[in-house]
Amino acid sequence: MSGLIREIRFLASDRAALLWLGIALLVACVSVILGLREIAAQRAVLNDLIEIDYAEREVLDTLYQDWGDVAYYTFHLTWDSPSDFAFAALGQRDTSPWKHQIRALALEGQIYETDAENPDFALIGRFDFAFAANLLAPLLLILLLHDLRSAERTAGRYELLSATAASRGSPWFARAALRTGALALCLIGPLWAGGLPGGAGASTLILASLVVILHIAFWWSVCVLVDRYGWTSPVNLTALVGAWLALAVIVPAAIKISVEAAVPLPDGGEILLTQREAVNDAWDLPKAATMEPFIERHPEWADYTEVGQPFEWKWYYAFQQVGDQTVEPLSQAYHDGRIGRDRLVGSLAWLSPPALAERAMQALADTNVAATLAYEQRVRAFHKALREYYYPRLFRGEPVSTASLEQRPQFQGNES
Amino acid sequence: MSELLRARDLTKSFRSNTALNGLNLSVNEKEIVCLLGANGAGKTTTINLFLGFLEPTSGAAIVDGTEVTADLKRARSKLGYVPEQVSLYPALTGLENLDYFVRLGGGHRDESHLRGLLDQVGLDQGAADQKVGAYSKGMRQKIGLAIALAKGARALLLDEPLSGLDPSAANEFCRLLRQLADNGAAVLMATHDLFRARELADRIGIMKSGTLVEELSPESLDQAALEQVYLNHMHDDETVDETTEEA
Amino acid sequence: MIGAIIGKELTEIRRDGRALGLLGIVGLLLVLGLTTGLATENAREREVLQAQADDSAVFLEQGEKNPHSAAHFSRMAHKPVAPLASFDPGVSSFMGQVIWLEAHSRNPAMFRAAEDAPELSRLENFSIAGVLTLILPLLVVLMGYGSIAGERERGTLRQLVGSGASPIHLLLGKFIVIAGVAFAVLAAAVAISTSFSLLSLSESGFSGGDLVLRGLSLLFVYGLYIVCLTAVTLLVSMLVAEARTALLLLLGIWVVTVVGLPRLSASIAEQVYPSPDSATFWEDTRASLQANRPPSESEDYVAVEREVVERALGRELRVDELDDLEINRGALRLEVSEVIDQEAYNAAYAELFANYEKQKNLRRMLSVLSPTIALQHLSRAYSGTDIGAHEHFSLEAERQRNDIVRAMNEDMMLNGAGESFGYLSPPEFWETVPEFDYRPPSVATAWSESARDLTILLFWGLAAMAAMFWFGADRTRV
Repeated sequence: MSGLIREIRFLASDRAALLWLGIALLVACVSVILGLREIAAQRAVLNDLIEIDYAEREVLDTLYQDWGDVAYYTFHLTWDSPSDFAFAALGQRDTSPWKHQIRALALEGQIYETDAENPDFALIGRFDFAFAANLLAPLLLILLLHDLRSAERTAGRYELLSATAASRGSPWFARAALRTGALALCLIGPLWAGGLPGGAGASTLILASLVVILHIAFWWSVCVLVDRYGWTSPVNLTALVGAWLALAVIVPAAIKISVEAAVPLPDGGEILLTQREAVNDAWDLPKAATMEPFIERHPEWADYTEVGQPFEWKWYYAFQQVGDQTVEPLSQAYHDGRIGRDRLVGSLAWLSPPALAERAMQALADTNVAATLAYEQRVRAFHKALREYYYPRLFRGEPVSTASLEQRPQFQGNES
Repeated sequence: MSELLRARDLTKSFRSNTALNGLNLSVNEKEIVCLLGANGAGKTTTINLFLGFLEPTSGAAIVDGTEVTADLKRARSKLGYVPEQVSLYPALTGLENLDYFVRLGGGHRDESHLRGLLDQVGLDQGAADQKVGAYSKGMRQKIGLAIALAKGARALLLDEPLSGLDPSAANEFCRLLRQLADNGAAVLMATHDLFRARELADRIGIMKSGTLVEELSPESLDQAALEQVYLNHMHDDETVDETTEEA
Repeated sequence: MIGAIIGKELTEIRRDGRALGLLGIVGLLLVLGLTTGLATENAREREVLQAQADDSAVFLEQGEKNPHSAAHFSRMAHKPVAPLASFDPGVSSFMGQVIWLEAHSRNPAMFRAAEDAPELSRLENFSIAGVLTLILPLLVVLMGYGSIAGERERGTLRQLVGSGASPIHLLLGKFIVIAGVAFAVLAAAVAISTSFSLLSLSESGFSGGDLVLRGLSLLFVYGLYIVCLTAVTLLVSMLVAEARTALLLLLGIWVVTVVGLPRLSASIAEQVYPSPDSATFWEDTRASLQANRPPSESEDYVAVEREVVERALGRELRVDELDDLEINRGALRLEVSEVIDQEAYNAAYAELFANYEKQKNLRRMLSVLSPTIALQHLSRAYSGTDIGAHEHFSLEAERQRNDIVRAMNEDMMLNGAGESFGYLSPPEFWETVPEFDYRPPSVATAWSESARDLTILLFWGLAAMAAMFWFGADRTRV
């Protein structure tokens, strides 16, 4: 116990160490505050939009007498609410969509729309807790631990200390453990302080803390490994920063390049262009050319395919659906490719502990690729439900009624 | 006979601690003066004041008629300096080190001249082209002297140049110094080696706690007097060592 | 004397295996960055050209068709790959690459390459610019941390000054060597990158001269960055007693200013001036479109009608002529609504880009703390991959949209009198619709748009140099 107190005193008198710990604490606090504010802003936007969404539909429902018009003009907001832990790892939420306004037209044209976020910031990435803990903290730990032995060696106390200590390595272990622990505390403290009042569950916070601790412990072991060679402090420091560059920058870059090459994706643009051509061509094609592939998918409306007028809503919605059908193989390949890429990245991330920790936190925060794809699936399901709601009404030519409108599907959010 | 080094009421205080107190001393050409004293007696402070590494609190250090604080560049151009540890660039050879220091002092000598100098200070021709990382202390001191010679310094300041040298290397170094003095140089050497000082010096100054307490001629120092000087003056002072004050 | 210092420093670097090894690693990274940059940019350029050709073929071969129906299908404006995207891809993969020039609607750019890219932490967005901004500082720090502090520790500094060397000269010599080595690495990277871009210069509308000027501009700003880095490194090395303390402090500064602050500044800017989400953006735009439309019998509306018809006919109308003209009234309505809506669309987009500019300004202010931020702005601007370059493309595409939609509306208006929407343009009409011939802005535009970033970086360079020499003259403690 007195040993611990002595080491704490020792740490307290090391101004450089206090500086790095102070920076770690500051960085963690700022990242947590910024993350919480960002998530609060996203929630506020969602709340407003949901409110507007309901209000608008209420007005629209009184305006149109034809199901075609109703389906054409009525938008439905779909959204992916941030989880209570999303503040710590904003993940894909700045590059992938987390809300769409959907209507019963061709879906593929609507689902890839993205926000008008500043692309500069998407490029740079967010200053969230995951960044602080996974990329900055290892560097700070390196600055804290690089010269535990080499400093004593330089000062000429190493032999004396080693000879005096009861077991080999024990004074270093205590000193390094204290510093590593202090750094972990500087990170985890603000995470809990921000997370608990923000509603993040204790179990998630415990798991996240575990990720932080394991990751920091990994870097500690790297420091120990480098220290064993008995180099001078500057050489240690250079080697450790080199290791950081390799593991946090170069390996992930190599993973990215190789995954892109290994799992080719159909161009996202191709999907939209093909779909747009299909939908547009339909205007000039014979009506049967649209209705046939439509009936293949929806045989239940085979008796209603007669289109007498130059324009009929049922035909319009049929060719919207056929547009989606045309790009289905592409869209499926795109979807599968993204899953494939994500899986491969997941396995290769084991080569880069910072990337692995980042992925773990995004998984805890539901801000990873899987969450993005899950949201996309929810939108697709909702869109399907919309179509299934409108088709009978369009094809049978039923009159618009309040009772019928009340049966229209509503998007269910994923709020916990 | 011209006076090349002169301290006039030279005083240096570090906060409350006076490292050098009203030193009056002169060294003429062809003369070797040794400053003797314990650690912290003020020897290194004196040399630092002549080199302009420190500014005097009062008084003046004068090199060949030039006051150091008035024209540092001019004063330094006449000085050669050999510290206790001659520090050289380990990645460069002896010759390259010499060349570099000479050029930085504003001079330029062609290679044969520099080799001649290394020869003159007794460095093997083979060693001149080796990296100094492997040099012994004696070899480094020789390079230090060669640097001083190359710039044509009229006054040499040496700070404990003999400590750590083996006896034969120290003998050779002293022989070299004598030769330089005979050729017209003024040599001021700080040391705590009483015996070498008696052999080498023309005059010996005894310093204690920043004050020059005695000036002796070597002839006056017989065995008994040596012992007396040792007992009186050569144990460590209680004053703070100026090197720690500087840092 | 400076020559001697430079010679000696270079010899030391040459004989020190560590420095050479480091240079080797940096070289390797640059080659890696260059090859991936070139590979992706070349592939993208081929895709763009192919897509353009396909789009053109489909449009020209659409046969007899109602022009308004064709205006709905319309054309795609493909953004060419920026000349130096292989050096700094900037925001290109985070911005849409294609704008659909549809009637009635000014669409945002679509297809961001980033959406389907595997992602780990954004740090891996590897490019030469990325390598240079992140690793040049490390190279400079590792070459320079011991340059003064190390000489002081070894005692050589004392000896040098004692033998009459001027501290300023010493500093200058070391400065020249460290900055020079870093600059050599930089120059090689920029030269290779620019040469490759020159070789693959296609019909993308960039001139070779412009490319060379861009390369030189990049060389200049990264050179300034090196000046800042070297001066700060020497300054710290001078003020700190021991070399290892200098290294520790410098790496700490690197962590904070190069790794941390650029990201922090972005997050702060986003929170102070939040970007509108797309739903709100369109909601607001739709509202202002509505508010901006005059009632169809109002004076304002009629004035626009006259203007539209006069432009189509190429002559002024007599006072009562409008009502008697034999024209397709449906097409006139379409074109009038295009003209009226343009204003609201342009205002909405201008506001969006103005908000990006506000965010950028805030980051500029924060670049007082880290020159890396100003450098990032400049690097993207000179590479032609910043938001400004995108805005230029977006404006030109909108102009093109107005032109081609007008061409189709006028065809229907003048030649389809009495036919309402049954009018079909002849198959050869499509060839008269102008092609989109996008000319990207020259480097001069980038110069003027990023003048403030340049000022900040210049200020950084001067301040760092001044501080170095100020302390160098005053305080080269031995």
